[in-house]
Amino acid sequence: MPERSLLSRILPSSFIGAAPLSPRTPRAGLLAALIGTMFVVTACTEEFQGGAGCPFLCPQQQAPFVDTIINAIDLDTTLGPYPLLGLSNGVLLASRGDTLETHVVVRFDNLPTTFNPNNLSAQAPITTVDSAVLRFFVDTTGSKAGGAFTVEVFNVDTTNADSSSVVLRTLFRPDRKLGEVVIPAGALKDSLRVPVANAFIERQIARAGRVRLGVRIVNTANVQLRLGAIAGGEGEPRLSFDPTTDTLYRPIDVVPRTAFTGNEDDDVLRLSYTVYALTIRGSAPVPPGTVSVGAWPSRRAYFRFAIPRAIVESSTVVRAELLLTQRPSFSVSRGDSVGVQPFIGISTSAVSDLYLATSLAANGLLAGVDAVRFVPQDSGQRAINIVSVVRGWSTLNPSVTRFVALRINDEGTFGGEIRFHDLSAPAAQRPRLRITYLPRTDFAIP
Amino acid sequence: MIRLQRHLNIGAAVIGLVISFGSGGELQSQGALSTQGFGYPPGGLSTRALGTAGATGEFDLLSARNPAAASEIGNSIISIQGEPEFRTMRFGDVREDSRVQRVPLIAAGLRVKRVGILISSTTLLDRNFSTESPGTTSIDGATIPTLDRFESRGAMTELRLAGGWTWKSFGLGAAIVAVTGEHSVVRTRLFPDTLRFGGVLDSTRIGFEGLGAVFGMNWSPSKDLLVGASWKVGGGLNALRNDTTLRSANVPSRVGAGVLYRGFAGTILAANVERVQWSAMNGLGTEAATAQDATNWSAGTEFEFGTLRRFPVAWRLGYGQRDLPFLLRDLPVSERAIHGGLGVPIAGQSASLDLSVQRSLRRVQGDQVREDAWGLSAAITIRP
Repeated sequence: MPERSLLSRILPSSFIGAAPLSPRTPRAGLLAALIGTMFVVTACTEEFQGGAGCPFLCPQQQAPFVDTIINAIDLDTTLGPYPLLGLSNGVLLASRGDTLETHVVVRFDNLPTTFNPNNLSAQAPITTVDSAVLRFFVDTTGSKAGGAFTVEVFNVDTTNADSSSVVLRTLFRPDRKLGEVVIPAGALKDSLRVPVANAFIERQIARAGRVRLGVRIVNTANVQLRLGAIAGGEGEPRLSFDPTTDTLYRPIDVVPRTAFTGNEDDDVLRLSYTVYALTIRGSAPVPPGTVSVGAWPSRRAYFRFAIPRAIVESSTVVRAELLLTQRPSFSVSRGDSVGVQPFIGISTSAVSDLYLATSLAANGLLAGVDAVRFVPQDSGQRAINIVSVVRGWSTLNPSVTRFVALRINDEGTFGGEIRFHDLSAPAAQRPRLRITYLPRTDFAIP
Repeated sequence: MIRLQRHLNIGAAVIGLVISFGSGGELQSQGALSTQGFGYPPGGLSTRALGTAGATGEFDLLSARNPAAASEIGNSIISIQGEPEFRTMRFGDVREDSRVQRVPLIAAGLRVKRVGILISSTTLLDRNFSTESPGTTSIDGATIPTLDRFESRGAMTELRLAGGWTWKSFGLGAAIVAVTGEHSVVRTRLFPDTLRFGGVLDSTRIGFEGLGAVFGMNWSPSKDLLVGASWKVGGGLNALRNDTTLRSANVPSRVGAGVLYRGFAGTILAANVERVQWSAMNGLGTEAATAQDATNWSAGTEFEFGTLRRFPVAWRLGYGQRDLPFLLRDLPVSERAIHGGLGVPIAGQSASLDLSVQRSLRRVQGDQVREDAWGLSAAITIRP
């Protein structure tokens, strides 16, 4: 038995929690009342509105942001041409005076030789061709036609180097012309039908041959047409004709196909040369001290970033804008606004070919980077918001090259060009990064 | 035995209710007088001592003050305490209500021969709060509105190993104290223009380690009088991230003294005064967490009135005044409080339930900010 403590010598036993038995009447109700009181008091509905006393009551305020412009781009260049031939949704047929002229080539290397008379199973050879037309789908939003214009179609089949633009452009001559159509002013619709000589088609079918057609706009016009192009796609051009002179028959639609002989049995090449544009007069070369986006054939601007690690990895970036100084371009459509979409590098440094790395880049929309609109003839400082990209770089594998490539919207079907000063420009005009970030601080310490 | 089990269940249920309802909305508070700096000091008092505003703290074995009181353990003891607090802060026309929940004391002890040994965990400074307020920032010369959130969870905790021994009319004690705990802080800053600006969401965590020692004595010069005193010596106190020391200061030292007198009809009168050297913590935080030394005093009484299941019920009443450690923008913050409470045995000599309620008025110089709080405290103590 322990010695009696000091308290127990002088205090009531209840004080130290060692109460002796008492003959008094129980008070069980009191205990219940205590529990009930605690229940009522503590079960109050919570009401919380925090921070109304700030900033006076919140001495530990948010740390200030650092807002600065840094030379974070260590490499810029212009890459092209884009897109790869045959990989565009559309193709541009243009006659824009001294700024841009393109022709379009469509290959029908597989022609039908039979048809089903009266829709029966029995097949009959095609011996007659009537109402042959080359039909295009037209994207009127990307097309321009100030007045009436003429579209001509030529036989561009040749036994020479049939993918050579030098050779092909010589085939647009009167003795190879197969048809034409005149589109009156304001009559451009969402399809373009160019008549083709029936006898030519009939002869090629009879020979089990092929049809390769070149289309151009007569060069006195100032017209551009954005035509559906991609082989196998919904908007691909068609060669339509009636297999008989009886108009009760539905026309036969022939879709573009191409075939290579010899060693050129390659799917990519087949796709490239099925429907494609032939550049007769393209954009001027990129002038010195310039990075270029768009133009014809289209280019992409490449900016590689080297942001200090202390900012990317140890700070919270709240704003990041790629600052570019635009210089005027005298390209086609210089007064039209052009959407420019940033693309983000996703390949590692193992991909050293910048053209390939840029081709593999992911659309910035996937990272929340929207397109920005420019007008080619404008000049001045422009800002492209890339905050979500820069924030994402902190978690990206270090081997992934941090770059942003600018690509014109409607690449391959628009000739407008946006130009920017490159890294050789004076400091205030070269590409830079405007960044606002919150440095890491020991904000847990009050 | 069955009755004992039933009573223990009831007591545990009360504690559970206090804790669960009090913490229904997580640990939430706001920019308040009591959450400045490293937080609010609950005081290390047991519910029993809280009933007298801490006047009996120097003689209460569960309170983390005088280790000489550990000699009162008896054979063994286990205690746990819950404390919800309901605050109302007024600042001009602004009024904010909030609720915090603490478990400020857990203790267990036993007697080894003539020495009572007590191990306890008490909250030294409680820093649980969150604020949400509109703000602005200047970016590129433009003033941009923001929505700022700041949330802190955590506390500094004192782990204490105390030993007390009684010899004739003297009680002596000593304790070693380890300060531990961590603060987990999340800051958020959102911009209305989410396309142009990304938000800020940062989180960080710091830990604390420190040491101290406490010496105490009680002396009974007469059969109705008891005096006590204790001295806490603060050692080093470090703020750490992982194994890196960020800042260093000292555990606040403390000197306290109390007197307890048994008056008429078993009524106890007690008073306590203490001086806490909170300024020893300066340097552990920034200038926004400047601490001031505090002189605290309290007076209280305890008396028996009525019985519960044949056992007397102890009623307590007290008044205390103290300085809160951390300044609000160089202005000292004080706290006055009226306390009341009771203690009832719920299983004869084997367990007791203590309840207390406090009405605290916290003021800053000039009364431009007022914070009033109702505090509840409930503890169950078992003597196996």
